[in-house]
Parts: sequence; C-alpha cells; structure tokens
Amino acid sequence: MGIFSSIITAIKGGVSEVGEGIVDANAIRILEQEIREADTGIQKATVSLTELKAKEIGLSKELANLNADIDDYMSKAKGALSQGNEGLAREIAEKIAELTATKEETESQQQELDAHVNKIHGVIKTRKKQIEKNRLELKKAKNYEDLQATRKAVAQSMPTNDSSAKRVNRALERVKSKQAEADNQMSADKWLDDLETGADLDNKINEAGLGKSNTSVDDILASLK
Amino acid sequence: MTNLTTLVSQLHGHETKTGATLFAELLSDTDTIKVTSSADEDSVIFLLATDEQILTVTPLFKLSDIDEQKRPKLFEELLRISPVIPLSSLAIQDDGVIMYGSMSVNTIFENIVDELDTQTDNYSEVLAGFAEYIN
Repeated sequence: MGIFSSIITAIKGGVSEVGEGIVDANAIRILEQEIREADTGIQKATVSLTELKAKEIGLSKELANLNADIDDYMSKAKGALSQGNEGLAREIAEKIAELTATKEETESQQQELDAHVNKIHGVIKTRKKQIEKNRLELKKAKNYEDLQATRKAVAQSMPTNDSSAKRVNRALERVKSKQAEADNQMSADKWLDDLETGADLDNKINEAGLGKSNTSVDDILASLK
Repeated sequence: MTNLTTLVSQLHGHETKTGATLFAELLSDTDTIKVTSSADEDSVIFLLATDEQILTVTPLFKLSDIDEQKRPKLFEELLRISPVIPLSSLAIQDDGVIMYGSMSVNTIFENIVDELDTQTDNYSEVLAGFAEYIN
C-alpha cells in the first residue's frame, strides 16, 4: 500500500495521539535513499548513454564516408571501362568490394548500437518517471509529518470550553463592531457623494415642500371644467 | 531552509497592509513561531517551516467540548464553510478544530505576512460562525 493510502487508512482507524507515527520513519528514510541512489544511477546511465550515442554518431559518419568512397570508385571504374582499361577497372572493383564489406560490417555495428542506445534511453525515461512518482510519494509522507510537528504546539494552546465561550462572545462583539463600522462608513460615503453631486441640496428642497409640483389628474380635470 | 530566528525578527513589530502590528515569538521546544496581532487580541497563529512548506495553524476550539449530538451538523458546516475562507482551510487535528494555511517554503516575506494578516482577520468571523456549538 502506498504511504498516502496507509496514512488515510490509519486516520480512519482513529489514530490520533500526539507523537504516534503513522508513517514509518524507516520507510521514509528508505524511500529517500532509493530516490538518491536512483538519481545517481540515472546520472551515470545518462553519461554512458551520451558516450554510446557519440560512438553511434561516429559510425554513422564513417558509413557516410564509405558510401561516398564507394560511389566515387564506382564512377572511376566506369571511367576505366569506358577507356577500355579492364585491368584498372578490375583493380578498382576489388577496392569497391573491400569497401562494401567494410561498409556492411560498419552498418551492422551502427544499427546494433542505435538499437541499444534507444533501449537505454527508454529505460532511463521510465526510471525517471518512477523516481518522480517516488518523490511525490515522499512529499505526501513528509507533508503528514510536517503537520504532526504543529500538533504539540497547537494541543498545548487549544482553549478549554470555558475560555472558548468567552472568546466566542468577544468574537461576536468584534464582528458586530466591524459591521457597524462598515455601515457607518457606507453612510459617510453616501453623504460625501450627495454633497458632491448636489443631491444633498435637492433633498433639503424636497423636504421643505418646495420641490417640483406634482400635477394630479384631478387638478388637470378641474382646470378643464 | 527557512531561518526561524530571522523570520521571527522580521515579523515581530511588522505593520501589515491593513494597519495591524504583528508580534512574533520563537517557541524553541516545538520549533514554531507564535504569532499574535494587534487586530485581534484572541487570535494565535503557530507558524512552522519545513523543507517544503510553511504552515500556519490557528487553534479554534476543542471538539470534545462540543455536544456529541451536535457534531454531525458541525462537521458538515466545517466542510461547507472551509472553501469560502480566503487562504485558509478548516480541519480537525487530534481533539481540536483548527484553521490552517500552507505555502511554499520559497514564498516571499510579504506573502507570509498576507497569510498571517488574513488568517487573523478571518478568526473572529469563523469563530462567531460556530458560536451556536460552543456556547
């Protein structure tokens, strides 16, 4: 079972005493060691891989040169034949045969090395992913341990019910007072806003009954009679 | 690795953006920093730094002081209210209900101050929110 799953299982099982280690300290140390060793192994493997790849590249270049030489000798052999110089053409052909044999051997080595390099590269990639998974597992385990470190300090200062009730009442008072401050602030903001738009004066005029007259339907009918 | 002694001296007496003053004290037996604020006389935050993260934990109240019959409703409310609280979460640790926040150990000082300021600011409202269970 992964460390994280075992933490969850243990908590569900009611493990709660301060100081009780759900996570095996040894398991964490072993995991850390494994990650360190795997990291070192990956570094070494990467260096070897680079060396092998350099050799493979060397062989590829050699192959390219051999192909170029063979092409060159082929055209020279054709030239010798067109001159009627069969003896020279034969010598050149022997050279071509020699080069072709070398080329085939080099090609075989290059292909084998290429396959080997790709295989190692694949293994390194897989191992790197596994290392990252292990690192994540370790992070989860350490996160739990980190939280445990706060338990002692918090447990020592956890308030009792008597003091909780008093603190709650003080908290309620603070919340009320914050709300009252916020309400007062809103009123003050509105007052300032009214002052700046002249709405304050309009309000005073209206309150004095000197505002625009509201002509009623009855007033209109009365004026028509 | 965060140097707690340096952090304590940076935090102690520091004025936050909201105008509160923080007070910090190093508790060497638990390797934590106890932080209080002028913004709320009752709020106490314990700050802990590890390899990976900085944790800030505020004790709220004891679970064993809450009537057993009221607890299922309390737990549901804890879960519903937790996501709403900025920068912090609610949780149960041992017998205590706590409010806690966490950030990367590489975070800047101002972010630590913001977290402490916010958690202090949240404290009264969160506690008042559970008043019916505590009184």
